[in-house]
Amino acid sequence: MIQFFHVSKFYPPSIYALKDLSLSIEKGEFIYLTGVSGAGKSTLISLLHFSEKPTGGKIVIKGKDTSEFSKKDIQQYRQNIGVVFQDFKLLQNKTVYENIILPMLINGTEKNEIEIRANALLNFIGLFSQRNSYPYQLSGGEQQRVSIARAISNNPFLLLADEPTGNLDEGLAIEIMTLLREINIKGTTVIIATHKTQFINKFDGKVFHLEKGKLENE
Amino acid sequence: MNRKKYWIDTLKNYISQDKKRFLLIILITGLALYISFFPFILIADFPKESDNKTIYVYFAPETPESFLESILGEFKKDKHILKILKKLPKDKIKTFINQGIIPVKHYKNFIKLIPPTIIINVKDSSENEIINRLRKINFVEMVKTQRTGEDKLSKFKSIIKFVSFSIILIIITSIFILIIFTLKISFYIHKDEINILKLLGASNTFIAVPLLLEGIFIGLTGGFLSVILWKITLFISQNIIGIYIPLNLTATILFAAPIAGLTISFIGSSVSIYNQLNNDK
Repeated sequence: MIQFFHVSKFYPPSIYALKDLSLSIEKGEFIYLTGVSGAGKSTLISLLHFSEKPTGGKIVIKGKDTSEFSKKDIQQYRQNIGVVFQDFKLLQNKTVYENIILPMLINGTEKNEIEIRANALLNFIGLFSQRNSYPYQLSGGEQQRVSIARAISNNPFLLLADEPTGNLDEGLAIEIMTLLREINIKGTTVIIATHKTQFINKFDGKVFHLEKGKLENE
Repeated sequence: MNRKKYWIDTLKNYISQDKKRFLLIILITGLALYISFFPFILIADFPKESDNKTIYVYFAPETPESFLESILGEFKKDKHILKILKKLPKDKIKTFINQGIIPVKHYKNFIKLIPPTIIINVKDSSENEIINRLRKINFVEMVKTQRTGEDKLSKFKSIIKFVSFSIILIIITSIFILIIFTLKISFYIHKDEINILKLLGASNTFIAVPLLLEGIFIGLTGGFLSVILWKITLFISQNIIGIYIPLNLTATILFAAPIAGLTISFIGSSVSIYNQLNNDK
């Protein structure tokens, strides 16, 4: 479903975030991108949600060469994937409920459908009672759960998570990882960039270990 | 919730986050639109070419009232004469101005009239003949025509019109630029939010709507503010100072100002926002 062919990302004057990277990810897989800080994990995630463009190589998603994507194609693609950011990226002036339904408003989902799905998601992340709270009124773990709910509200085929447990203590981190695993079981391909390797044994998945922008082993 | 509610809520958020800036921009827009009305007064009050002419007949101060009445009686029968006004009391003159019988531009002349004086409206074609007849009448000291003043004014007519329209154009352009920069600032204030929306796949239109509404809100409110200021000006000028402004112009302003505010702000906002969105990576 996702293929990287000799992908490089170069930042002038002399930094290679990714170097000649080739990999393949199949539908429904649970992927860990591991490596130390600066290994290229976040860059790879950025390439997958088009915040960055590769400086070399080719990325093919669902059989389409992404270098040929127009602005509209990118918008459409982003509407069909979910992204969980390390810093959550929630709208602070919108409630939990409004944040969760945002992707559905963007792609024009029906009002009734929005209501049904939002309530289901609020129950799924255990924050129904706080649906009218603002992000700044929530703990870090709760904000991350809202971020996950927002990411999956459009039933994405791909969920990208960049250090989803980075700022959380172990208990909350396990909670978040459990949530991501449940989403994967429902059929969504999940790619997690993390430096916390302790979860790999607990939540089984395929591991891509990056070192200095290169894939070390699988 | 649907898209419309989301956009309205977002607009409310934008306004509540930055009330002072909003009020300031609305005030500037309102004042600018209000100032632009004054050149319109100048243009609207310009003497227009007409088939009818007004003749002012000034009699000597010692003219007997009975003589004046007999002259009036004689002229009333003349088929070329459309209307005769004897020198009128001040409050009557005001009424006639409001009713449009007496042109506002001649108001000052009426105030200055020395009794006994008559004002005669005649058909243009008969003007010279009537003037000659009037000059031959006893006690008549002076006969003036409206045309004398008009001819002098018409020399400056095009210059005054050009200057007036230039002032209006400058003011409108200033409002336009103000709206562009206001929205540019707003775009940068909400840049984080806009970036998140982009990451979620929002289209430019989805992102732009609350910002467009912000611009339209400023323009429309500014337009209404200018109307309120205009009404206050009318009240003060007519009831306190005693200067009369043509009422038909007020009616035009009531409609035109909010529409002008809306149009300028809509175009200005669109240009600013889409420019930002297209240039923003």
